[in-house]
Amino acid sequence: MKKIIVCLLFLLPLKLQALKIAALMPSHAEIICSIGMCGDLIAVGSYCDWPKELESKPKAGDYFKPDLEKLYSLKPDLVFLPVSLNSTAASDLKKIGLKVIEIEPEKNIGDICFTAKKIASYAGRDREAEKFCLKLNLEISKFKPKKRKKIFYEIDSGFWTAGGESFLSDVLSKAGGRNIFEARKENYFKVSWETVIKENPDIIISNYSKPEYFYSLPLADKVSAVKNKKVFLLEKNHRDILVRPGPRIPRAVKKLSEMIDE
Amino acid sequence: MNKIKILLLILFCCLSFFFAVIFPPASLDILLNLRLSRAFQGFFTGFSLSLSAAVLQGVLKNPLADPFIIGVSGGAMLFLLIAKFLNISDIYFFPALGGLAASYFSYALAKRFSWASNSGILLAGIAVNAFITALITMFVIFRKDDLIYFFHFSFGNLSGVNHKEIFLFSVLAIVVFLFVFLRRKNFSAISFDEEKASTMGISSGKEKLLFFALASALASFSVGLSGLIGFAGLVAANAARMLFPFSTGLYLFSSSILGAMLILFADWIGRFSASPIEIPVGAITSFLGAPFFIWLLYKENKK
Repeated sequence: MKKIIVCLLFLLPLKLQALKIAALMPSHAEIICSIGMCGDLIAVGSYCDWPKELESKPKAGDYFKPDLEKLYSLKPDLVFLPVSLNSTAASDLKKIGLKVIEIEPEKNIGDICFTAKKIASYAGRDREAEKFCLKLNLEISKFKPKKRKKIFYEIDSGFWTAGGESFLSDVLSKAGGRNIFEARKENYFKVSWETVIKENPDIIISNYSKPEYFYSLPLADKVSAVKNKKVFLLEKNHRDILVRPGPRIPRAVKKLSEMIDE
Repeated sequence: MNKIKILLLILFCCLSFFFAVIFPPASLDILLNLRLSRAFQGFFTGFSLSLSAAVLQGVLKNPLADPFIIGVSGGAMLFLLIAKFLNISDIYFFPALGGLAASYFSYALAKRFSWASNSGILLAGIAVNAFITALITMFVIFRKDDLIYFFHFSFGNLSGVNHKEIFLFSVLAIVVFLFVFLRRKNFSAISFDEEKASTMGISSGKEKLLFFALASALASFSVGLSGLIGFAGLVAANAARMLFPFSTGLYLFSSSILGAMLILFADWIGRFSASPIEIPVGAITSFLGAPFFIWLLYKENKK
């Protein structure tokens, strides 16, 4: 009996010692904080700026190019990274002996829940993840668009946009829109003003160009978004929320649905 | 023989222009308001880049000369970045100024240190470009939001939506072409034998600077309007020299037309091969231009 107690006493500190984690992707960090693990984060990526607690955390590069020295010296138990075909981040971190958990990029709002559950499973926080998912689904289910309007979304200047399997496309559809290029599977591509005119969107949203730019384009008066003055430039804070598949996505959906229904 | 070649060139160029405008079919207002201006933008961009390359190759007596080597591309990129930084809304004229400034800088460097003048300019240009690229990288590291914009700028964009700018640019291209064409005697004199040129009473230094300035100005404005479209000028100028080795006028003319044709054709392919997705024109010019260039070199060596 004594032996067992002694053994347990030795094991106790191990069990109590908190997990040390690093999350380099802003959306992962946001999810981690939402399931109550903000305190376990010992390093975050340089773009991670929400919630406020993250501002004081050590910054260890970004998910594309992590700061190897810093991460090595902080010795996190787990590093969360997105699966990426064109970055050597994960393999570099593995080489210096860190445990890297790679998470599939989210293709739709539902996938945020998978990410939360996956992260939680490594920290024994499955219940919190369940709660997180319930809350997210509840908030999203509030948006029940009656009619879906055609949207052209300019991600980057020069008519760069996203296809139907992109996360953005799903957010648009939850907000009551329909991406005019949803038939394309590609994630990110360039189109021309000519094709936009042909698709005749009801709403144009841009991350980059001011509405006046679209009004000044040739044949702009043929496009119903221009006719009805439904061309919007998304501000930076809304843009950030929209591109991060995390807990704030309902806010992005709300903002977009306001633009669509306005 | 030369007449047939020229007629064929003009015919092919007209055909590419025609195809670029009418295929794939669209309504008349789209053809008139978007396609036509886009075709003009493509035509004059190719025209200017290759005229500029042809002039530079002649003046510098080097088949490797190209507006992008002497600093035009780097300067335009840098100034575009500065424009973004200072919130200058004009993104056409300002980058053009940058191209001009950088190419003049290469010229002045070569002159100041009196390097073997012709290849000296190229070497100076390479150094200027490298330095500017380093500056751009440093800027971009601290302004990551702009990164993607530069990435896009670097493979060209023919949107055809800036009617006013396209018109002004076309006028400039035609004026520069006529100027160079009418002065082709001086041009050929300095591009063959500078010593002989000076005995003919042509001040080769002044003349060289003039042609150099015109070529880099034209290329700079083309970059300001349409971004960086690589390889078209280099290929066109070399092909033109092989087609018309003995006539300066025809060399200049055919180089311009060939470049225009290449860009029109490349843009046409990029526009409809994966429609509605557009493949940027710069990617296609290099994709088509590089094998063609290798074939040209191969053929030339065999002779």
